[in-house]
Amino acid sequence: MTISRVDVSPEEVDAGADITLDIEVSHAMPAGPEDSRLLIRDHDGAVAASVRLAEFGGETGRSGAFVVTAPLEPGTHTWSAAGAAPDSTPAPFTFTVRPHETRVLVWDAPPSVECGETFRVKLGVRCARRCRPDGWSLEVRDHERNRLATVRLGDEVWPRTDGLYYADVELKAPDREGLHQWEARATTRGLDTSHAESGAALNVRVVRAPDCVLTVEAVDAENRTPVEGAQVVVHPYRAVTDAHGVAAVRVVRGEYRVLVSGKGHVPFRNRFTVDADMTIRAQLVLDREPSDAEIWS
Amino acid sequence: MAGKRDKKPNDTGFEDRKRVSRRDFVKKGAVAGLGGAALLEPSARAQAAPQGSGDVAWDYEVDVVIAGGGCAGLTAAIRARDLGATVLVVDQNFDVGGRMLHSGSFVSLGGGDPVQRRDMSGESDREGFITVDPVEDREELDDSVDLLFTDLTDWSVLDRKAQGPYRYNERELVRAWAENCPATRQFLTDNYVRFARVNGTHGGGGLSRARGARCFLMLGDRTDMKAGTITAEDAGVADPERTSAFAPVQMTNMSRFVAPGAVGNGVALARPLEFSAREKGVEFMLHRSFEELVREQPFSGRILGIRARYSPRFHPETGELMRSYWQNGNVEERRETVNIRARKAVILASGGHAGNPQVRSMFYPAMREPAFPTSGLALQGRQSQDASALIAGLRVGANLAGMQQNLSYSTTFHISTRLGTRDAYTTMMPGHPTFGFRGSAGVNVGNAGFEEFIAVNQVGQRFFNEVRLPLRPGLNAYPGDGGAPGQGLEHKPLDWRNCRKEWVQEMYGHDHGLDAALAMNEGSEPPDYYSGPLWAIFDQEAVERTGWELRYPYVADNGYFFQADTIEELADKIAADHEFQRVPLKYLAETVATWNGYVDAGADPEFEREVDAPMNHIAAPPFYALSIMVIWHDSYGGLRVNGRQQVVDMQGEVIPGLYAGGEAVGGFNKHGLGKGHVHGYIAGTRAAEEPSA
Repeated sequence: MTISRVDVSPEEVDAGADITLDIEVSHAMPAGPEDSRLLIRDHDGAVAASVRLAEFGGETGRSGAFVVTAPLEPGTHTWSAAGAAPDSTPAPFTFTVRPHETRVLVWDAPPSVECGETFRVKLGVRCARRCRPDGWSLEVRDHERNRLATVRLGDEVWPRTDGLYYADVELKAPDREGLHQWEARATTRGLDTSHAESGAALNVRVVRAPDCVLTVEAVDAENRTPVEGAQVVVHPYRAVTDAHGVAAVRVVRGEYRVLVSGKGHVPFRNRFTVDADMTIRAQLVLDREPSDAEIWS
Repeated sequence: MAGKRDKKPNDTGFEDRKRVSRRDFVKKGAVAGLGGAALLEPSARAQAAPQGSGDVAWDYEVDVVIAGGGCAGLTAAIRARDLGATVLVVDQNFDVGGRMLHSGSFVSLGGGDPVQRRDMSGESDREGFITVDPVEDREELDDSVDLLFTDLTDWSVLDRKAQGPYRYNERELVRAWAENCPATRQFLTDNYVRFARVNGTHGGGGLSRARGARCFLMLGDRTDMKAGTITAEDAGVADPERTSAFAPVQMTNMSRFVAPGAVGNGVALARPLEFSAREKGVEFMLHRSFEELVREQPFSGRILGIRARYSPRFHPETGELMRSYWQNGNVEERRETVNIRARKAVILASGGHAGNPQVRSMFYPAMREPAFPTSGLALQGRQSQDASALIAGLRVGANLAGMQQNLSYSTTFHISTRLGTRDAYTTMMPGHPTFGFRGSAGVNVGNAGFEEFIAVNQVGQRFFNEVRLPLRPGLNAYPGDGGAPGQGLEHKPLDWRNCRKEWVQEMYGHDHGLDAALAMNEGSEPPDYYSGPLWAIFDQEAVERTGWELRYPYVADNGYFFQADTIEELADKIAADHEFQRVPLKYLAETVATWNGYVDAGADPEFEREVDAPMNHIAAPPFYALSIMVIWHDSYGGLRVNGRQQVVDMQGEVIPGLYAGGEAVGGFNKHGLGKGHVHGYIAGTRAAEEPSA
C-alpha cells in the first residue's frame, strides 16, 4: 500500500484545534487486517492517530475524513502517514500551528481624572477559542512602556458574554494634565497553550482640580418637567441628570460646548464661558420625527 | 363577475356566496376546472381572441379587469361595479389592499371636499362617532377646486432640497384629479370609510389649505365594517407585541382626531373598501401577477385583456398557501398562466417600481443595490411594486411621464430609524401570517437614537455624521415647513418670491447622509459597485443608556442583528451571516478604535459629530450590530395618462381600452393615497362607461 495523497484541512490551524485529514492510497487491496490500517505519526514519531481505510478495492482506497488534534506548539509541523505494515513507506505532510488570537478590552474608564487621583477601569481578555484564563495576567503600561500595574484575570465571564474574562484594576493618574495614552497588554508567556499577545489603548484624560460647578437643569421644552437620565457632556467632563433633571459638573474655568441629550429628545447644544459657578437650563425638545403615518400614508 | 364569454354572469350577492361552503367551492371548481360561484366553463379556453391579437385563448372574461387591489385598484373596482360592470381584480399578493393596508390612511384630497365642509361646519360624522372639535380653523378648510389645481401646478414653490415639486405636474391630469376630489371623498365615505378630523395636508397636496384626514374605526366587541367597529385584538392594540391577520400593522390611537376609543391607519381604509367591494360582487384572483397586456396589434388597436401568472405565496412556517382574510368573491385559479379578456377596459393599478432595483436604478444607480427593498416586504412579497404596469405599458407603446419626479419628492428614499430588520417600514408584530418573512420587528431608535452608535458601511468604515443620517427635509404640504416663505394661510401661490434665490439659500435644509451611505467603498466591485449593507455598531453601555430591547420580536437571529464579545468577532459574524454582506468588515476594529480616540479627544475630525450630539465610547462588552436600512418607499414616474386616466402612447394618442392610476402613472408628484383613490375613481367611472367590445 502506497500513500498517494494526504488532504489537510485547514493547513493553518489554532494550537490544539482539530485538523481534518483525508488520505488516499494506491494498491489498496488488503491482504490482512493490518493492510487496511493507516498510522499518523507526529514530528516525534509518536502515533497521533490510527484509522482503517473506509473504502478500498482495486487500485485505490481512501480513509475518509477523520480528525486529529493539532499540537500546542506554534510553527510549521511535519507529520507522516503510512500503512501499518512494517514495509509501508511514510508520506510526510505539513501544516502550520498558530497561537490563539486574543483580544484585550478596556472599559469603564472615567472620562477625566484629576491630577494624581486614583481611578478604576475594567480590563478583559477574550481568547478566540474561549480558553479559560488560568494564570493569565494583564499589564498596564504608560507611553514609554513603563509598567504601571499588573492584574490577574478572574475566573468569571463578564455578563452577557460567552468567553470574556475580566479584572478590575486601580490606577493612579499622572500629575501632568493632558491626554495620556497608555496601553493594557495581555501577557501570555508561560501558558500551556500558545496565545498571541495583544493590547488595547487606555487613554487617560488628566485634568487639574476643577474650580467651578456648572449646574445643568434638563427640562422637557413642552411640558417643563425634569428630564431624568439626560447625558451632559462638557468635554472632557460628563454627568447624568438626577430625578430632578439636575446634573452638577465640576469644571475648570473656560469656554465649553455643552451638550445635553435626553432619552428621545433632540440634543441641547450651546457654548458657554464658565468663569464662576453657574446654572444653565437646557430645554429639551422631544425628538418628534414624522411618524410613519405622516410620511407614508 | 368573472364569467364565461357569452354567458350572463350570475350576479350573486355577498351573503349568498358567503354561504357557499369550502366543499361546495372546491366541487364547483372541479366541475368547472376552476372554482368560484360564477366562473366560466372549460370550453372558454378554446375561444379565440379577435383577429390580430395572435392565438390568445381567453380563460376568463369580464367587463373590467383591474391589475392590482390597492388604493387605486380597489376604488376603481367598486366604482365600476357600482356602474354595472362586472369586475375582476388580479393581485400578486395573497390578500387585498396593497400598500394601502399598511399605510397611515392619510387621504389628502380637498377642493372643498365633504370632509373639509363637515369640519368647517363643526359637525360630527354621520354616525356621530366624532366628538372632538375640528382641528383646523374654518379659513384653513375653505378650499376650492381652482385653488387646489393652482396649488398642485404652482411653478414657484420649491422644497428644502431646492427642487420644484409642483411645476412639472401634468396639468390635465391634475385638473381632473382636483375636480374629482370631492366626489371621491364622498364615494369613500359611502363605502364604509370613516374620516377623522382634517389635520394638515399630505406631501404634494398643496400648501394653501388643510386637506388631509385619516381613517378610523371604533374599538368594540366585534369587528364589523358596517358598524365601524373593531376589536382590540384585531386592531393590534391589545398586546403591544402582537398584530393580527386583520391588521398587519398596529392601529394607532386616533382619539385626538375622533373620540376616545378610535383607532386608525390603513386598515381602517383598506378593510372597509375591501368589504364593500366583496359585498358588491367584485371578484378577486389573488396570488396572481399581472404580466402582459393583450392588444389587437402590438402598437395599435384596442387593449383586449391581460395575461397573468400564478404567484403563490406560502406561509413562512407551515408552507401552506396563504389565504386572504376574507375569501368571498375569490376566484381560485392555480394554472401557471391565464388570459383574462376585458370587454370594456383594463385598468393598471399594480403600483410603481420601487421594488424593482433594475428599474429604479435609472433614477439612482446606487439603488440597484438589492440589500435595500421597498417598504412592506413581508406583507407585500417580493413581487410588490415590480414595475409590472410600466413594463407592460411600454410593450404596447405607452408613453411615460414625470420620471424625474422620483427625485423630487423629499422622502422617496431615506434611512429608516427602525434598525435590525430588513423590512424596516412597518410595525408588524408576530400574529400576522407574514411576520415570519420579516423575522424581526426591528428597534425604532428615532432620530435621537442615532447618536448612540457609529454607522459603518460594508467594509466597516464610517461614512457620515450619524446624527444627521436619518434627517429628512420637511414635507411640502400645508401648513408645512417644506420651503415656502409664507406658511399656512400666509402662503402666496404663484409668487416669484417663493423661489427667490436669496430665500432658497436661506431655507435650504437637506442633509445628504443617504447619498454617503450609498457611496462606493473599498468593497464595491464592478459591474454594479454595490455600496452594501450598513451597520449601527454600539456597546452594552448604549443599551443601558437607551433601554433598547434587544430581544424577540424586536431582534432575532435572522442576519440583521448580531452580538459578540469583541468587535473583531462581531465583524466576523456579520460577514458570515448577513445575506448581502459580500466582503469582510475589515476596517471595523480600526474604525472603533479610531472613534474611541475621537471621543477621548472630544472631536470627530472626519464628520464633526461633536457639534451635534454627545459622542460615547464603544468599549463596554458585549458589542452589537443592527442593520441600517435605506428604504425606497414609493415611486413617481410612470405611464402617461390623460384626465380620464387613459394611457397615452408615444404619439399622444389614447390607447383604447387601457386605463391606469396610482403609482403606475407618472406626471403627478403627489404622495400617497389621495392620488390613487381619485385615479381609481376616475378610471373606474370611465372604464365602466366604455362600450363592450
